[in-house]
Amino acid sequence: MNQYINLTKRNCKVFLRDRGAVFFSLLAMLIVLMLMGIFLGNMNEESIVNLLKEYGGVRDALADEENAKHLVQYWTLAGILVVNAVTVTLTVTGNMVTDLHEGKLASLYSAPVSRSVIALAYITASVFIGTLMCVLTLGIALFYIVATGGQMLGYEMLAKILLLIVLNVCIFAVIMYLAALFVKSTSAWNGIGTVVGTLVGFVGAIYLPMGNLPEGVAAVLKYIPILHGTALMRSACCEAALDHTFTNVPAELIAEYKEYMGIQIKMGEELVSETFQVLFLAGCGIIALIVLMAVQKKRNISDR
Amino acid sequence: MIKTEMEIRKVSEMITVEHLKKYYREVRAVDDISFTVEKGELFGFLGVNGAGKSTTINMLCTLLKPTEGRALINGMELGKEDDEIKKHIGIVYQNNCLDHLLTVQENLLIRGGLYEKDKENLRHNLTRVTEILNLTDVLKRPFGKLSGGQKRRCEIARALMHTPDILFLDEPTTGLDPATRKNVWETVSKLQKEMGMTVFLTTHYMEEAAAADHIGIMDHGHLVEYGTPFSLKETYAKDKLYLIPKAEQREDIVMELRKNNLEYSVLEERIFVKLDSTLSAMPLLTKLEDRIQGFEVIQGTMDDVFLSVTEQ
Repeated sequence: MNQYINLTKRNCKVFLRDRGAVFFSLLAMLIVLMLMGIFLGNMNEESIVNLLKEYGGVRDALADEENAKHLVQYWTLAGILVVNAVTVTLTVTGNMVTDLHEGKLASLYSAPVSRSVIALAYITASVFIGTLMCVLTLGIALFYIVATGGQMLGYEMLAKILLLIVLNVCIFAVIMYLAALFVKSTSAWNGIGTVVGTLVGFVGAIYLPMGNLPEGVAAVLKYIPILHGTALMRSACCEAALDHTFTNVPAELIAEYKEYMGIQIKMGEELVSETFQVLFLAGCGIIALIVLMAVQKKRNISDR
Repeated sequence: MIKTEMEIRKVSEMITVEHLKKYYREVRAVDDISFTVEKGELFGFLGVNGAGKSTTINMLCTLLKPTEGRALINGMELGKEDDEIKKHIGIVYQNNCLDHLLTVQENLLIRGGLYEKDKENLRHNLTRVTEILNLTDVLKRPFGKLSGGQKRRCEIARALMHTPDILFLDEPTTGLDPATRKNVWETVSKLQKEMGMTVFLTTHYMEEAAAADHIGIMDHGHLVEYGTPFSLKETYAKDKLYLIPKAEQREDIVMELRKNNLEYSVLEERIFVKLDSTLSAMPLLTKLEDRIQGFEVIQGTMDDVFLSVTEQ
């Protein structure tokens, strides 16, 4: 236990002391922020305002614009929280690849510590730092949204978001560690980082809303955990803002909007429930974990 | 249980290796080597690059599983009591493996913490190793900012945090300047002499190997020689005699050497003669006393031993 805490601390410290790594782990988030701030934010807001104009009867246009702005902000925040869960865990897991690459892993293996403890310490460190970064992002974003006149989220929602952050981070930490087992060099891992950092925004339907993606792409994404991760996060983040924005409009309109923005996902003809999504995510994590354990076990034997 | 001969013998032996092999598909990295290392001795493990030294060390450190053969480390069977063995050995690798961004103290406490659970003891160990290796001044500095020699000393300190019985050093001084090398080297001898630690060392520097109690020389996965530096020098390093002839006497001396069946070569002003032993120079010199101005006997070095063993 001591050794486990000891190693986890070490992995966290090694990552956090490297300012460059910390910055670049948040790069995908910065890209999302820029995209939304400069190009896509307005588009998303206008589409809400137009919807309301068309179907909402007599309205206060200014209030609609204001509400739409905050709804889009919350929608973006949800995306960022998931993006961070992916990219931060990826960068932290890079520690392990570096340790292997630089021959440091051998010195850990020669200590009387079981290899699973060493592996677990890497995973825990990325869970820990991933959660930390997401919570920091959440804090800063909430502060900004509230400061610019948005509504604060209720405690219950905050708690739900926190749980979702932990769930996402855990799953991606395991998946990243599994991927890292097949990588032997730091530069290869950095390459993967670049690819994942670029793709994550599309795969999670964060750069572009679900409704804007080609049908085939959208269909494939539904079988990838990240989309369900973002959808869950979005419904938690946006629920209050949705209620607040879409007043006096038909329920079908809200449902359609939710689907268009990837807040709710339809598989086949049916909307999938949150429980299903949580189970799906957890299932992906558990499968990754089982594969990971099998690979690690085989690796331990063939290494020796 | 019937004790094998090997187990009875082990009392004064720290490391016993019997028929150890490590094959990778076609490559026979280590091919059937056997040797012993006594308690408290400095064992020099030599060989050209790729001879199988590191593979052997990695096997003895439980990192690699031998293809065949067995080894006892301080009485513990390799492969069966690996966890126990790990607690009793310290390893300094060729490359530095501490974390650059952490301070020396953090590094040592983390690595030491893998062995020692008690915080008090851990602190105590830290003070002890920093004193031995003179690291007190750099404890608070990031490891990455240290000089090459300081880094090496930190690496040794890391390996000593849990007071191992055996210290494995895999080319600890490669790439260091001569002064730093000497410094690291003095530290290692001090550990061995004052603390009675068994030191298992691989090196490319023959003057370092010459200070060892026993030497094993690896070549192409085989242990080709084993002995004390002295006995190896006796066998492999011929002494050299340089004669400086008086004017006009050179031909005469050459005739005499030829008569005695001695290997020689004539340099500009001197004649170089290969000797079987230092003492065999005596009768020759007496014979030639009137015809030479002076002479010089040079003892064979470990370099000669190494070259003649590995070039075979």
